[in-house]
Amino acid sequence: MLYPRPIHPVNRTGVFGNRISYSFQDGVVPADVQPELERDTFGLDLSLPDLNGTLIHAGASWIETRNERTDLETDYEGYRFDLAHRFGKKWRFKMRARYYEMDSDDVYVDLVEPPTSAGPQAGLTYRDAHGFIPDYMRYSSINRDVFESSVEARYRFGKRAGSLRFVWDFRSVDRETFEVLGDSTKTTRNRYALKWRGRPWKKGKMRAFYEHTDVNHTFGNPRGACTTLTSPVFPNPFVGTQYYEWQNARAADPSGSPENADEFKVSVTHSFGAKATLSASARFWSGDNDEGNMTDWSKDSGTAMVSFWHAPAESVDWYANYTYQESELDVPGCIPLFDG
Amino acid sequence: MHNVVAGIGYRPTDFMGFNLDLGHTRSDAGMTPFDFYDAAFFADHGDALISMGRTHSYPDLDVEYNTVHFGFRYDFTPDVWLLADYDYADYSDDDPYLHDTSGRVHYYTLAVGIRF
Repeated sequence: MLYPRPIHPVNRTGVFGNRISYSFQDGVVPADVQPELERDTFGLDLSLPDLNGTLIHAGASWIETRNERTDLETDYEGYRFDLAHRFGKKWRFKMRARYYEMDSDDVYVDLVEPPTSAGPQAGLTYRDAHGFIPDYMRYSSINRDVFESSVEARYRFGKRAGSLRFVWDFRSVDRETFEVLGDSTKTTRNRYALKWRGRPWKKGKMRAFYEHTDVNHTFGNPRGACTTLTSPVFPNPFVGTQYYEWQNARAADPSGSPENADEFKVSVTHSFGAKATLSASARFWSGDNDEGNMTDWSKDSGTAMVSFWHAPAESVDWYANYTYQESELDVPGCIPLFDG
Repeated sequence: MHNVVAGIGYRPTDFMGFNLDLGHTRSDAGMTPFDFYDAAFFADHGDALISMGRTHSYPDLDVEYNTVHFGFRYDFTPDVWLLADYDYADYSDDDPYLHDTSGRVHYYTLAVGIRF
């Protein structure tokens, strides 16, 4: 890859040379470098398919990945446990748990800082001219402790009334350095679901599902949008407000993840013998998040579908489907105004 | 968004089949009008600013999409078959922005399949 020259678009001089790290003068630089990786994996597994009527799986994994070119390493350590048991003919219980840690080496990023060759800052680097220090220690966002669990209890009413399942999923992501909303590095999520399926009438099948999600400290971009800085007009960019000053004054915490969410689904099917089927389904989802500063968004969406299939003869079949979908999103926005 | 699809299949013999599929989709979307909160600040900057009064209309969506598929298959043997398909699509942009993206396309497909 060959970078262009950092020149002013009108007077064609190199006045912006200290605002970039690489340019035409560096010649062709590699752009398709593939990482050379070495990975060591060690695992243990235990399986007990029938321990007094209980199914048990357990395991552990240790994975070490090293980039041979950069000498950086990422370590993974994980444990898992699964259990299932049937209590008579009506009740079934399942549990699953996972825990893992990931740790990646820190990297000091020392940016190339060339001086500019022309203009009022000739001979100066960006640091010399504005006092801005671009170098930083990169602490990996991979570094985290994660715990996940799932508990499910199922009760079977009978052939017609079907079965009902209650599910509770829990997930905790504790990051070492990556900040999320609410001045925290740890996100916890709880999901509660009820799932029912049955055959309430002859040749009919029905399913219903409801799930509620509750998240604390959602994943997002703290102070990632909406600068509060205002600036007068300056005669040129060398004496005016700099980009890093605009970015440092951002106040909003945008996030695309919901803090609360509810989902409801239902489907029904009726078979007219082996020659025709009528089915219908509907889904509704509602979510919102007002956890951070100016995060406040909400979304409602719904889908409904009806479908019919008929085979009046062995050589002929036909079908027709109708789907309706609607969605409404309410989200704050910031409009950046810039005259450059 | 409204979507309707329908189709019919006809197999007069074990080695020959026809199918016809029709599709119709109607979609529309829009944004509610918005404005700046601090109008007094921008009142002092006069001609330098562009009015945002119509910005909410830029992402408006009003499209209609219709499709037709006709297919024919003939099996010479269980391992050799002929396919002939015709596909037609008509996309209508009823609220264009910058340029009208409406258009039509016809696809013709003739294929021979051999399994070995």
